[in-house]
Amino acid sequence: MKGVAFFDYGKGFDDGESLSLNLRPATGFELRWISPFGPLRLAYGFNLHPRTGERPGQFEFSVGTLF
Amino acid sequence: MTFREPYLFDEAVSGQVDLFARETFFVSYFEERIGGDIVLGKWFSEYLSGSVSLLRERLTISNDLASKLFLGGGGTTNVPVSDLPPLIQQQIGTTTTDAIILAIARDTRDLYLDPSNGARYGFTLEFAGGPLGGTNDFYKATGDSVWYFPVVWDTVFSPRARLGVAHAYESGSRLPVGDRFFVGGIQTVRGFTFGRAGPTASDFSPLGGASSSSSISTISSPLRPTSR
Repeated sequence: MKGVAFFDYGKGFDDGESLSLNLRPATGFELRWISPFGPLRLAYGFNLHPRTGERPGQFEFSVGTLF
Repeated sequence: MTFREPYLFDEAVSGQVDLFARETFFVSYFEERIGGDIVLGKWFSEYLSGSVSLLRERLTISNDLASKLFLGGGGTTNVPVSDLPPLIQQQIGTTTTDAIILAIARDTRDLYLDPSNGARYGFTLEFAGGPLGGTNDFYKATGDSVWYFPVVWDTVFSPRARLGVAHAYESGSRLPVGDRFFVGGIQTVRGFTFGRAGPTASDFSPLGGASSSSSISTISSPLRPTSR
């Protein structure tokens, strides 16, 4: 079992929009366990600049995919 | 389903055949892909490897969620085509992709599952359509680099940077929505649901970007001492 702290910064750009470093920031923590069923991840991330209609945070999990 | 032969024709060349059928749901629409690929891979040195893949697939974009086994039973009703985002309206129906994919990677990580040292640099170029046939004509380039630095007490600092660009090069052709870049979610930018750190429709269905850029930085540490 591992504890993880993260800072993520990224964005998908629409057609005609140029790539820039004006990205969407998020930070949070995660638990990782290499289980008999494959790598298991539980993450909670805080959207640092939520826009209208966006939640301030998001809980996610994944099973079987690598980090 | 994957068949892999690590030493094809007694050479240091691996051969792999994949057959797949998958469905991806994007809130108000879904995509189905059925196809296969042939992958030839080669190690050029201890760390450097490359591969060439030939891909052929049939893609269906549909709003007919009610006919789906898991969603239809839950009272899901179809969003009328006229209410779908314009990008999806244009893509409703079935298309085919014939593509060649070139990939190269340099991998010096100490472990595959849980690395604590080393780095992996990967670059992938996909070219679809044109002389290869198929109805989708696009190219797609992606770069992905991840580094692992041991700090103290089994703690590892790992920054990762990814960049992707895709473009339909024929006028009137298209970049299938599932080949766009979905940024947001546990595999890209945590704190967002899938695809929502990129273009979305008014109902928040993710539409995917034509390009993407992301960096994630991670510090991981064992929660109990590892037995030695």
